[in-house]
Amino acid sequence: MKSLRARLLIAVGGATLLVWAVTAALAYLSARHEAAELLDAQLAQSTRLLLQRVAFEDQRQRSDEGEGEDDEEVTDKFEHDRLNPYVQDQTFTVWRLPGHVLLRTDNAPAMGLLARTGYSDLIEAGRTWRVLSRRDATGRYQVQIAQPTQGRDRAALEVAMRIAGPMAIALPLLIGFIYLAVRRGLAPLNALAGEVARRKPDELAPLDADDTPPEASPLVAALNDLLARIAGTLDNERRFTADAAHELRTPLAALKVQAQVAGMANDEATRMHAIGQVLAGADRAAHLVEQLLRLARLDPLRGPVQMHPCGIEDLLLEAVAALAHLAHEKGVTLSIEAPQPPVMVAGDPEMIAVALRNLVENAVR
Amino acid sequence: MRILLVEDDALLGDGLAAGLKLAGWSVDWVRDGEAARLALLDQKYDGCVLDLGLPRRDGVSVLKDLRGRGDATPVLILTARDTRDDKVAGLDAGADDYLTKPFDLLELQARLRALTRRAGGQAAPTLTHADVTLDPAARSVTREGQVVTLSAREYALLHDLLAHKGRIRARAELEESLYAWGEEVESNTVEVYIHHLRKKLGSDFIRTVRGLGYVVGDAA
Repeated sequence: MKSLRARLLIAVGGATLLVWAVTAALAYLSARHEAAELLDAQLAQSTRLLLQRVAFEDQRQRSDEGEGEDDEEVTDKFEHDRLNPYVQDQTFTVWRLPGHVLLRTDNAPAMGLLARTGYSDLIEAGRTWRVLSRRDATGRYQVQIAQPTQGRDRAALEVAMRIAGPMAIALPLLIGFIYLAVRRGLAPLNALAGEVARRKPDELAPLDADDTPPEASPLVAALNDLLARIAGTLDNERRFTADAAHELRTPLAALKVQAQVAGMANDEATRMHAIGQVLAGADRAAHLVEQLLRLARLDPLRGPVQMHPCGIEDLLLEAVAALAHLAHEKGVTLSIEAPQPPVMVAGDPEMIAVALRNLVENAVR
Repeated sequence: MRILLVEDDALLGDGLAAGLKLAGWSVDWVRDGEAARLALLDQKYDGCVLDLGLPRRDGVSVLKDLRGRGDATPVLILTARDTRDDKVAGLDAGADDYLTKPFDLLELQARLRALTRRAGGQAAPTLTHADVTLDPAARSVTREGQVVTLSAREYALLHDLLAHKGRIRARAELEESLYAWGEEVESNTVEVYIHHLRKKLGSDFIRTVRGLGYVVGDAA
């Protein structure tokens, strides 16, 4: 499983990148659109000026010189203002209709007179051009202004970059802030993990639930529950060991005393009696150990005692049945007198069974 | 010297009774707290070995009852309860010593000797009068440095008289000291043992106070 931090970073970072990319694309497209409109307007302005100028000049020339059949073609070179990206390589050709070229820039594409007026995109000499063709009101002159689309695209890109540039700088900053925020947000979890890791094996106090964020509190609650159960189990085992040691003290003391008496006795009867008592004591200690082991085998991990109603008579019958052989060996008769209706008590049937068995066994012995 | 043994465990009680008898004590053994209380009311003991976890009446209650009556009988608590608080509670309830199970029989005997010695107002571990010395630890008697061989009863009688040096001991007192419950007291036994002791230790070692009893040393 991936870390929460990686998940968050991937999700938030990815979404940010995606939104950023879409925004940048939209900014580029709208910048392109705006630049095209601007440049088209520029073309329209130029054609209008050119037409007015050309018509005026041509008419004045013709009235001065009479109607010349073959006016020389005027080709001019225009200086560009390279400092302004919006000033484009504008080329134009001016005709006097039906087909006489009046004016032409030397870098103008060799395109013929277009039948139709208005904007169009043409491919000429391996370049694509944005062309505006327009006639004057009298219908005698036509102007075609052509602009390489490459330059127009560059202008559009320039505008788009002006917008996208700050965004490009903002993006890594944003990602950095997201990383820091995620780290900071997950700090309580790291602190929690550190607290658990620092603990010694016997430090079983519950974790402080007040310091944990609500999202982590189910985890802390589960951990605390586990800690409490482990502490309970350890406590039980410690108590069991202490109780067992305590229970064994008296039989051990008896064994030791009887053995010492056997060693000190100066008459045979006392010594033999003491030795017999040592053997009896060893048997009794063994029996006690057996009963303690039976208790120890009760699952210490099953947690608190589950209280169920149990029928004492049934449990007693089981205990007596299990000890019938021993009773026979000892010449003891076991019988059960149970009242009606059967006595029910609340308790753990397994533990009550062990207690009854130990009681009956002690009585038989 | 007569000891009351209070122990509910059959096997341990049997061993203790035998072990204390081997050390020269007369032992009365009771197995519950109530019987212990009654025995202590009924009889003057030289010491008491008391278990704490007892049926019918707890050992501490027996002890408090005894001290409440102003009875100074030395009491040694012998128990499986070994925490500091248990020991403090036992000693503060009036016990003179505290021994936890399992224990060593020789240590118990030595502690009992020390208790009975101190109760008799005596500091030295041996009892001496004239040229006779009795060593309770070794259970030996010497006269002028020579070991004197005594029977168990003769030794017990001498021990009692030396422990109560200067006090007149009535015949009944001496009998109680010599015989535990259930032991048949033969008539004239005290006189017989006194006679044997006089033969072995000198005829004027034990004086007869007519109508009262016997005494070693000058009667106070």
